Amino acid sequence: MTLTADQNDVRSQRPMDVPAFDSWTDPEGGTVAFFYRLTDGYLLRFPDRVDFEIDAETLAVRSFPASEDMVDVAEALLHNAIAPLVGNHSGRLHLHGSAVVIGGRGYAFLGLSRRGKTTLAAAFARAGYPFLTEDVVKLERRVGESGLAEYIVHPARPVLRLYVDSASHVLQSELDWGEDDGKTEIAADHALPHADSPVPLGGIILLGPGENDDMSFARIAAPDALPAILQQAFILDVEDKPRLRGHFQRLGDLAMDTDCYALDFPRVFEALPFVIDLVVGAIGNGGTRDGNG
Amino acid sequence: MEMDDILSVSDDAVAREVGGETVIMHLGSGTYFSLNEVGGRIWQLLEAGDRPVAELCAVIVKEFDAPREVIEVDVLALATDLMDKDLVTRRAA
Repeated sequence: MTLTADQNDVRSQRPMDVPAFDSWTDPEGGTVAFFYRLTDGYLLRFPDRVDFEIDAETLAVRSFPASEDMVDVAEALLHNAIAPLVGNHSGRLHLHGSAVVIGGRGYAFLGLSRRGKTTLAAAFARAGYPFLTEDVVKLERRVGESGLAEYIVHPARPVLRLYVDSASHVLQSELDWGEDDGKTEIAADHALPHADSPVPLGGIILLGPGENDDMSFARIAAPDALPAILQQAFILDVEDKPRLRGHFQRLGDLAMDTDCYALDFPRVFEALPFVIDLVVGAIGNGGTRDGNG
Repeated sequence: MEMDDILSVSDDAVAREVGGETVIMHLGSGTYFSLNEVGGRIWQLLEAGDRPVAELCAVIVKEFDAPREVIEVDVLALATDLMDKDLVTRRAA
């Protein structure tokens, strides 16, 4: 499914007369989005940027940028936030993360905001491992003739939205511009290849906080992976318990049927080549290696 | 918590077996809880219907061939933990 929004006129964000029932926050505690309940659906407000109205019955989306400057931002948010929310609400599987192709299989990097998902996708792409997606991992479960489940990773837009310092490092040129969220959009090219076809999911790589100097990459068990994967789900209505139950079961299946790994490394650009060697080498060796020594 | 207290799975709890453990999520708070094989069996019994703590202990003693006094201490501790996390509710017999 490709989600499109009915692009409406620029509309200033009027105060809401009901409290938000949910919100997204960034790592610093700032509010990224508020979720409000309307009579016949939902309103998602990205403050001073865009309002999205979603019809509860049809899941049709209407987009209201807060100003002319926010029209492009609305389009990006439609792909990176609204589409996965609506998709998961409909029983599909979208996770917050990036993904790259290694050895013909897709590997998804999942982690909290600012843990380096897009920077990793860019660094792997520069090293010859094409990126599939930079912010939302769209998965599809299939049961093969053998009866075993497998997941397909779908490609997303061939662009990377990077913070300026990451973009400067990846492109090896000084950049001093960015959009309102401090990120700049970079299109794929021969030096930053994008995979434009779905590939089988090879594994899920959960990113640690990078709070020490050590580098590590290891297989983790499904019960340990599931809570971390659950944190990267897109949930439109946290009070819709039947849908939450369904989503929990789908993610449980994913954790059971997929190789899961934990990756941690210091968040300095100089570490990236070593991270790539560590991950690619370990996947080829069955999944466990540390980066020390 | 008393041995004749009756436990029920909370409406806000959802659980599934994953790789030999039982992972439970509280739908209201989004918190997670993981149970080993014995804890998972207790959860399975509770999902099948409300039960007193004593009955849970009796099943575990029988199925896991463990001393009753040890099992009772462990089951009471687990029940208290699950109740503190709003994953089960308790009512007096």
